[in-house]
Amino acid sequence: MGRLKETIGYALEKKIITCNAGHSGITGTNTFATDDGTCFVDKAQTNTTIIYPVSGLHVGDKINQFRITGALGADTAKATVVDANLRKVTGGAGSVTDASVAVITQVSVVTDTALDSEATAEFDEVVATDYQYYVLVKISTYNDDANDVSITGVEVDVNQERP
Amino acid sequence: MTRVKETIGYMLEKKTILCNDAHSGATATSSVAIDNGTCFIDQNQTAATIIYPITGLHTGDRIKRIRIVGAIGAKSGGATTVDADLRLVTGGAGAVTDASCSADITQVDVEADTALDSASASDVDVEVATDYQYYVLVTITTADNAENDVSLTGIEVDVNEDRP
Repeated sequence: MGRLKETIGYALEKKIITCNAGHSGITGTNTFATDDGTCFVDKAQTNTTIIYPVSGLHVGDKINQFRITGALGADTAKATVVDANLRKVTGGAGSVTDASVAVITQVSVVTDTALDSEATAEFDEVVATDYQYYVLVKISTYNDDANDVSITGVEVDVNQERP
Repeated sequence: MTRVKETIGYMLEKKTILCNDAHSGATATSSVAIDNGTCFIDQNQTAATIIYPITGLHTGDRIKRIRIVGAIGAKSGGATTVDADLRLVTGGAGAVTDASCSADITQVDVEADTALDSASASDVDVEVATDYQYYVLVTITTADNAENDVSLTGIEVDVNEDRP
């Protein structure tokens, strides 16, 4: 028996994509070799970088928002700082072009804090062929036992104007 | 205006899936430990392997073709070559079975900086089945010159092209 449903786009439904298959970037030290599915950043790191590829996008999707989630450890006068930047990269002759799409307001805390931050304003980024998307995360931690970070992942809101 | 279409499966719409969650394979050296979301292959690599798992497929999807995108560095007399092969793997008693889906791209072989955007040589009709997982095996060789390197941005997978 056939079933019917409303369609405007194809796979372009309103949805939130969760991304937790990250890997370390080039700067500093962080690790996914933990048994809780997170990326762990210990104390005394300066702008250590983590990459979260955004997988599950379809050409034509509109990205409207993204969030980073996790747990921050910090203490008075001993800050932990998190930046996250949704970026897109495309190929070219001899080099790629890598550009920012949206950023979250920097999270800087001096007490243990649940991390759940999103871009300052929503946006409208249409996913195009030849482009790939990822979130570049940078974390700095003070050199104190209280300071560390566990990143659980990134959430990406797409097609929010759809029903 | 509301439009309707008949559906038999749930998520089997025509779509292009983007995949950029790569990791290094067993051969030679490649790295995703860079801050631009790509996989980088430096000069002087022989058949370096990179794996792109294809996530977001549903059982019943029909894979039509793949594309590989990125940036190739090369120079006259110093070739960079790229191969990509859509493959499927399934479990078994003691060993897996790993096979090509015959959606391999024609080998890209260049001696000048080149934008990489190559599709499989011919369309296929691979129906995604339970017990199978799909990935793209990329193999890259670079001459031993500073100009020779590759940055892979990812893989695109076209599915359900026969759907409206």
